[in-house]
Amino acid sequence: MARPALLNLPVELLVHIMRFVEPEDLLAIRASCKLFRELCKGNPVVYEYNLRGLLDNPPTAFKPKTWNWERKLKDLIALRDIYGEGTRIESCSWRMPAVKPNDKEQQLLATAKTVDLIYHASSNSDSSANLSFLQKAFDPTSRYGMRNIERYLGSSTLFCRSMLPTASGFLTPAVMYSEDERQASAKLHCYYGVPVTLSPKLYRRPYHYALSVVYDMRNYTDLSLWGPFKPDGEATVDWEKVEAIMIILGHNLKCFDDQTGRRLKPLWTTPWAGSQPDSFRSVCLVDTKSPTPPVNESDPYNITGSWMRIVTFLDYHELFYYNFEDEPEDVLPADVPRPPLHATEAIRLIIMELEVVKIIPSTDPKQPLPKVQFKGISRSLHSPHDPNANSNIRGTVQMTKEGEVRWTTISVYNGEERWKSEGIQIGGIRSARGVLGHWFDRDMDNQQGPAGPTAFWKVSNEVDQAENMDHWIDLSTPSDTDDENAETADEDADGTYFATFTTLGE
Amino acid sequence: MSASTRTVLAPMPDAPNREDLDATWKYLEMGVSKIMTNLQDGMDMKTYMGVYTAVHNFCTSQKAISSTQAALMGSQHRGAHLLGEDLYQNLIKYLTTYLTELVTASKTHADEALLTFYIREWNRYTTAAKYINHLFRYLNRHWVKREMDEGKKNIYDVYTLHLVQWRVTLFSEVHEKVMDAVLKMVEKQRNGETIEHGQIKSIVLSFVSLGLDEADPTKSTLDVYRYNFEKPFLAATKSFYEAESKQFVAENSIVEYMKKAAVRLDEEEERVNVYLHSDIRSPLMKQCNASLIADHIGILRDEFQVLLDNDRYDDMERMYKLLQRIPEGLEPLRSKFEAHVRKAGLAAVSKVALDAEKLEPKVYIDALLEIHTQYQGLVKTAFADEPEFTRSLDNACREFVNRNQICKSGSNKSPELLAKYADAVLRKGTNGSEESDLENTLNQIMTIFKYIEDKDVFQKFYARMLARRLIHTSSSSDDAETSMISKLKEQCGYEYTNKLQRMFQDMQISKDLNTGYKEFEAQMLADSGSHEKPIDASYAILGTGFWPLNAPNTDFTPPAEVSRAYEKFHTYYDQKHSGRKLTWLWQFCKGEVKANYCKSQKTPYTFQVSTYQMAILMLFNENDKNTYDDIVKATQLQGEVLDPALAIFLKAKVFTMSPEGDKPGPGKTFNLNYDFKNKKLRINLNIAVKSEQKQEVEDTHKTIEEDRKLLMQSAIVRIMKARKKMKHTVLVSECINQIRTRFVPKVPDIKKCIDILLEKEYLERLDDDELGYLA
Amino acid sequence: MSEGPAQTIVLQSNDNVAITVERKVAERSMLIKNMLEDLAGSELDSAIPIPNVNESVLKKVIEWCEHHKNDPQTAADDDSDSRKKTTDIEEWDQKFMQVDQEMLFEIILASNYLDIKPLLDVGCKTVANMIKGKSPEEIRKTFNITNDFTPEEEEQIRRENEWAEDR
Repeated sequence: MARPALLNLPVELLVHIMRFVEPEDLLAIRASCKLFRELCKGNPVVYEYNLRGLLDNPPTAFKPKTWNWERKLKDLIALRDIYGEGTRIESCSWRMPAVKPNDKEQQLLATAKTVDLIYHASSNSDSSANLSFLQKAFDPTSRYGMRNIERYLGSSTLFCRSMLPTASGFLTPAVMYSEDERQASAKLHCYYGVPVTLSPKLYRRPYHYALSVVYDMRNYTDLSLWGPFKPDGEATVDWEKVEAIMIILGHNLKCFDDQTGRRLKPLWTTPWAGSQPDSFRSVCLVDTKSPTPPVNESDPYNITGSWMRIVTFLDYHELFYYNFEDEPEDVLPADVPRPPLHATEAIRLIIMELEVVKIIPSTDPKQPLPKVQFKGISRSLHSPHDPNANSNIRGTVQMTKEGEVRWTTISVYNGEERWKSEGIQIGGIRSARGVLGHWFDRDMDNQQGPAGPTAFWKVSNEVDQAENMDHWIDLSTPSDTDDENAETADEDADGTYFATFTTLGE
Repeated sequence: MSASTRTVLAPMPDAPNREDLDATWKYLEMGVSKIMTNLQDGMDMKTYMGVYTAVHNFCTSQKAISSTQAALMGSQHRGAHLLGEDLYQNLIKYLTTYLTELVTASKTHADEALLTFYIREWNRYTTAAKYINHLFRYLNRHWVKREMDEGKKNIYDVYTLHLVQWRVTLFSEVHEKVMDAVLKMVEKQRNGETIEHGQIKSIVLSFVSLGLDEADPTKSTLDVYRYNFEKPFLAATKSFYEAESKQFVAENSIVEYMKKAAVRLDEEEERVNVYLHSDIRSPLMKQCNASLIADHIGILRDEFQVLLDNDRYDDMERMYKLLQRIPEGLEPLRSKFEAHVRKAGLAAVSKVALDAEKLEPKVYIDALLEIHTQYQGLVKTAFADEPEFTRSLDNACREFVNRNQICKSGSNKSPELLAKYADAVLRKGTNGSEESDLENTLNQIMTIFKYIEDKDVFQKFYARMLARRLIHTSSSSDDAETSMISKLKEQCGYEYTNKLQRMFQDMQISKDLNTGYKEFEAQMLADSGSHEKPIDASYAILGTGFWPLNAPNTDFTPPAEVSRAYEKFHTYYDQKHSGRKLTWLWQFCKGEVKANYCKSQKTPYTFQVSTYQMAILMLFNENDKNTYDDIVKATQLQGEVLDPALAIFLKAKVFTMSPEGDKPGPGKTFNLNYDFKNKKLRINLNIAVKSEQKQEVEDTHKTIEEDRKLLMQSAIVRIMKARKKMKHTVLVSECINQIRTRFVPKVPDIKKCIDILLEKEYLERLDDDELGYLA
Repeated sequence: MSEGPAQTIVLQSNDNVAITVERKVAERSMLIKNMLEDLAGSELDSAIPIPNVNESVLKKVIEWCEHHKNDPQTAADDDSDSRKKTTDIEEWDQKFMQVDQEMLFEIILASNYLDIKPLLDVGCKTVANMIKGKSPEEIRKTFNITNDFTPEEEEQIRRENEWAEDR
């Protein structure tokens, strides 16, 4: 028998040892000698074994046929390099890190690989290794957390604009980052899913800059489909718009919680959670004993059920003044954003009960998911017994060319279409995160608004006839104050105008 | 460490060269073969360890490269692949050979001998498989696991591999013959012979073990067992019972057949419990139900009427248990049952209905109850209280309660008689029955009440009689009254009993009021220092809307003594509730007067009289003789009230009349009879007249008709207000729907109401038989 | 088998030394455990031959089994969560594994042969920890491996570990 040595161990034991090293070490091992190189080539399970516990085995529905664990191992190493979570790159002399410091590409690489990591995460947010990796990388208390947040989530136009002038003067966003980088940062921020706060020593509050994006009526055009899209007529997502919506609604929800002492069921609080497909988990609304209604198998978007919706808006006078009087059109060039808007909004919380009406099969071989029509009702949580607070709602869900899930809703009052919305579901089909978008006046000829941000996310596959509010709002610390305390609008707002809005209902 | 001293032992035998596949396999084959064929002689540790070690050494040898791998990689280079496939393939080869020989051996056996052979070989084989699985564990742990992790198909752990090989090589060849043998045994048992059923159980277990889920090798399925065991087993069951039942029915009575079928079904259940797999229970019972019951459903159902007519409870229960096993099996039985009960009910009513006019409520209600009790008993004992049979019973009862010979004379007869029966039960003194008996009787009343369609009729009569009981304080018990009201409330809701409850409350409030008044009166007397003894009176204040009572139909001037008393009460009442108008219902008032004038009597007689009578009598305090006109003038009473009151006095000889004649009237004069004599000291002169009672019944019916019209009209208006426009026929049926809980309205009546509403211009006629609502 | 307190059995190493151990200790080895169960009833008085392990290694393995004799038996050969425990080798085991490389590999081979999964894992983790964070050259040095790549192969490996290809 040969003298015991590493290379003399049987193959199965060498494979077993390779379970326990870091992913980066596999690259070194296979570069050390022919035997290990052959071993890795001949036993691709080496990579799979090594990644167990580090990377989720994606749900079958989202695991492509070409799935390659070796490739995923390299992707993970790249992300560990980027987010500084891997072997300390500076002390590693034998291989090139995935990105060098100040590499112009790092934002694009980070966003692409992170979104891919999320897309292939386990649908259970609590036990996903992929999400857990990202949560650690962006934990402000971890070694690189704050750096990663500022570097990768804070590079959009909005944050660049909110930057305080430094000694070196003021930089325009275009000088700092390319358009693609800014979009990539905004997209990553949306997937991160919690509006971030950057150092107040360096940045102003992003909320006012976000307002200047969402309430700029120039952003609502036929070409952008009046939604958070680029003006290319193809519904290509403009992630900077989506980011602005998220920041605004996050701000308003926080105000709502602070003022009413209530807690909306935790949303936009756990980074990355729920940004992957299929991550929605239904809450039991009715009797726990009664079986959950069957999910409509042919509706890939899982529309039927109860949804929570939030809508915010500006006093119309303020909106009009901001857009059409303060800064006359001919003075402000089209590509220059409006100045930060210092205003307060009103918020409405709404329950939507939706059901699938029709499923229209896709004719695009590249995009097999169907277009689904739905209808339902929407009830305001503020004055649930006021018939005007409620409306009918209908709409569609379909995939965009890019492969994003696009939601269109139209609220109908007494047979008359009043409000419309366009939005994007963050994280793809059946994500828990839900939809972020714009709402606007159905009568699009009227290019003078009103319009604003909206979001909705699913709560349950059931519909609660008893209309028990507990499922939507955590009443554990109830306050005696009226719902209307959530009203953050100006005191001297035009009464009649707001009366119409109370019935926004949708 | 346990070994403190070093013990040196004899050397171990040499293991085969680890790199030589042929040598290794030769060694392994010897071990495997010994286990397969000769395990009973025991296995020694050295062989055990030897085989395990040989497998281990081969798999971990670095140079044992199989020919295929050698071709792929450099020849001198050690392999980067796991080793083990050669052992795996050799094992398959060995097992195939071994099993093929077994197949040949099996050919010499048949029937029970074949079963014995199969089971013996199966047991030997699976025991060996467990050993070999352990000995080849190193192969399982590494090579097999890796192949499975890589998603390779048709790779199993060594134990499962044994099962797969058994199925592929042996089972596929012998399973039909094995099943033949099994089925022959089962048939023997069904024919009454004793069999060795442990054998069948072993076969079942073997078949079940062979089910592997191809998609997930860690799971097993029942597919093999279902296809190869259940299917033929069910087919054999079908033909056996089809033949048997056909012959049995031809030779025996239906009742006998039912007993036989029940026994057979129990036997099959037992068969599953004793030696079959529980998976077969449902399909097997389904097959038995089909062959034993469904195939003979016609003759079984025909027998039901016979059993019903002869009250054959046991046989009906047997039939119920059989037919409930098949879908829709009981349906025709239920309708037959329903018709039967209805007929019985009608017959029972006919028996007591010979003289409808003089029919005692109790006799009638008892007749209804008897039929209900009888068949409810049947439903309970024979039909397991099955809800559908209960519904049939209810349907039948509803029919004969509402539409029978008695009801022909008036559709409201049943509720009326039921209310009267209730009155009799609740009235004081009619029967000194125990409280629990009373409660029972009330429940029986509710049983019938449940079936009454015209619940409004019952309500009217009940309310009137309750009012009388309350006014005359003739209820036997307050508890019974409230119990009855709460039962009605439970059935018909708050609205139905609201007024009844209010009547009850009024009496309670009046009691308190009287107590308060007594104190007030005493205080007033003390204040005034008067020694006049007031009339000892009690008052009842009845809310106008709640009581089914009308204002008096005659003028009346009460005697001065009474006026003084009630005016004082009035003052008191006004203080407490100002703004309420009190209307005195003189016709219900009564009192007692003492007759001090009678010569013959030391203790004076006490007359119990109505207030009207009292007013008449009081006149005789002034004059011994009064003319008819004097009386009219003093009391203001009208003839139809006055005359009967006088007639009673005359009949009781309190008065004499001159000139004599048969009826009191103008021109007559009435004299106080000083010679009045009676055996009793208290004499009740406040006697209701027969004709009054009859009048009351008619009045009640009339108010019911009126109320119904109003109810229908308001229902129509309500519907039309909501719908604005409606077809005539749709409106009628909707109207029936809304009112049904109170009574079943007749279509012509609804039409009449619609006409009235058209006339009043609530509604208008539109084209196309439609009606419109006019706001 | 009977449950007498501290029933002992005898193992025979391949250099023919008899070592007496408590049965419970020996049964940390699935091989021995299965064999004792399979051969229940047959003669058990003679020593159990362990043809692949010599006295010194066997004693070392038994030492480990003694220490871990009361650990819960790991049911399956499930490796799915072994990743999480990569670095945490408990202190006693770390000390136990402070042996020269030759003995380390002997222990790994013996635990693999005797089917003692937890010991095998500890051994493999120890080796893995020796690899972690090292460059290929450092790995070669640690385990005395000769670089047998041709310059062409070296070049190819360098390219494989670059990033440009998958941007």
